[in-house]
Amino acid sequence: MTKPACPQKFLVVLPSNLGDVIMATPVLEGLKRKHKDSFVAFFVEEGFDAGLLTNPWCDSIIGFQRREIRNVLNTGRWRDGRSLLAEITERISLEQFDVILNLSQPNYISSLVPLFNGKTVVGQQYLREGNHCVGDDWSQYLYAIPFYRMGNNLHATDVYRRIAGVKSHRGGCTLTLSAEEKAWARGFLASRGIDPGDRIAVFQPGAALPSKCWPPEHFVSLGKLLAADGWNICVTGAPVEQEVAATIATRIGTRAVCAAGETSFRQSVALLSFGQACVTGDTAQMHASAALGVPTYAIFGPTNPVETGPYGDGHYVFSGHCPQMPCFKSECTSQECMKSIAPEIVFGCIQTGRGPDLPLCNVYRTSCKADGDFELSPCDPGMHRYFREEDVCLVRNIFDDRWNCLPGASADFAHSVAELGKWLEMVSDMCNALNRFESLRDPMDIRKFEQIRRSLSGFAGVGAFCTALLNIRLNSVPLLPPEHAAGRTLDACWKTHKQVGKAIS
Amino acid sequence: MVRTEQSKEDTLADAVAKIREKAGTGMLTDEEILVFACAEIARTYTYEEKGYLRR
Repeated sequence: MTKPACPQKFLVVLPSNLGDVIMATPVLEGLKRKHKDSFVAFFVEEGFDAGLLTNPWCDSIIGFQRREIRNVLNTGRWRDGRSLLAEITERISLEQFDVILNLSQPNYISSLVPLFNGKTVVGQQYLREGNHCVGDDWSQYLYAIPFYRMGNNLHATDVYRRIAGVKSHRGGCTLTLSAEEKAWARGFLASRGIDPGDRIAVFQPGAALPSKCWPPEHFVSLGKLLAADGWNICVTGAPVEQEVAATIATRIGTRAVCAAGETSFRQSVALLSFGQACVTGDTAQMHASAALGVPTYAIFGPTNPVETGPYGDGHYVFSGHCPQMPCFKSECTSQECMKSIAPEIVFGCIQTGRGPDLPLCNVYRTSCKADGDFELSPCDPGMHRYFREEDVCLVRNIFDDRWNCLPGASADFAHSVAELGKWLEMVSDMCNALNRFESLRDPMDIRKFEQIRRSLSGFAGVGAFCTALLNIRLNSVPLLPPEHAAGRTLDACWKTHKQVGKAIS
Repeated sequence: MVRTEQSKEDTLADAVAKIREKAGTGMLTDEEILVFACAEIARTYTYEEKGYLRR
């Protein structure tokens, strides 16, 4: 028997956003290290390729002009937009990729994936049968996380790597700058009276969502504390953030300069490369800072730092007190969680390089564990945890044969196991109904199957995660030919039943 | 104005509606999937375009 040829051409598909693109860079490195002499390309929306330029692990960037195509499609000349899209898909198809690795979640990307004509597709794709399909376990895991976040302790980067089947390594994310970009930043700082060798703190006050922004007055207070300690402050941001950035810089005083609105993202990253500290919300700048190895002080509100924190060793994450966090709201009237993170706490961490003794907010330190996975460690055991250890064990046991961390039997753990036992009984009943349908073809059995499936939505906790996982798999079953649908549905149910059963055994 | 059959099909929405009737009953062609993708892309927006950054 001949050994199958090793895949040589990979296309990583993740068009947006910038932060996600940076978080996916370890996949590129992992693929190149695992598959020697392979060719790795990245399909990314124009503008977000700024996270990939000069990346040594990326052989080719295939730009996606989504906005241009979208605008043409919406002008009434939709056939012109269709032609533009066809040009891109044909170009990719001609490349004859061995593996299309779709790390993105929006449906419009899933619809494009079959047109890329890869020999193998990993991640979500639209099937010719007429439904979306998430075929592999770790992509299904990624899609199930939002249904029970307390059962996940994996960073997005670590999930991406598992989807790609590449080993963990301690290299972190990659973001490289050219000598010209560094020279530009040096010149910019010098023109503003800052010696690039001085202590520089970079502030990024803006964020994609208003709920992710630390109040400007907190940036001002922190800036004043740093300036009094001899730091220079460079405030960065997009053109739309220029006003607030300029106000912050002015109010801090003469040791602060505003670069917002005057730089591209790459230029702001070049400035950042001269920083000894970066204070930012959950932004692309945060991921860039961590990738460059600049000590990063990330202020988190509505999002989850376990999933999207600054990847790597020795960064700090701060989060406030709010019973709903992480709420993932795009807007918030109170912004209680962000306001409760005092500038003095952040200043203390920057100054001492360690967590405060008695913080009034949650403070975490990041690290990469021996196995290479990201870890967010609270500076005090009493601080808010973004996951439940025991539920993580149960969830991970579903996916990873080597993961075996069943803790001592606490009441909560016993409760979760008992709930999953009930969940398994119901899925078993679903399987029995399908089995009966396969032999008797009585539609009543399908109705019973659907009835039990709907009842599964009543589960909370790990049960909710398992229900989401099962639903993702059921929705991924090809619709055609219809006579095979029941058998494939049965397979999906049994597979999930077996994995969940193993997790609690 | 009386719309002809041809002009009816010449909107993206009409083209998609026609393909939706087929989805789940017959295998879709590359062209049909491409039209679906067009419909999805026509609806996309980013945070920036939604105006979140313009505070």
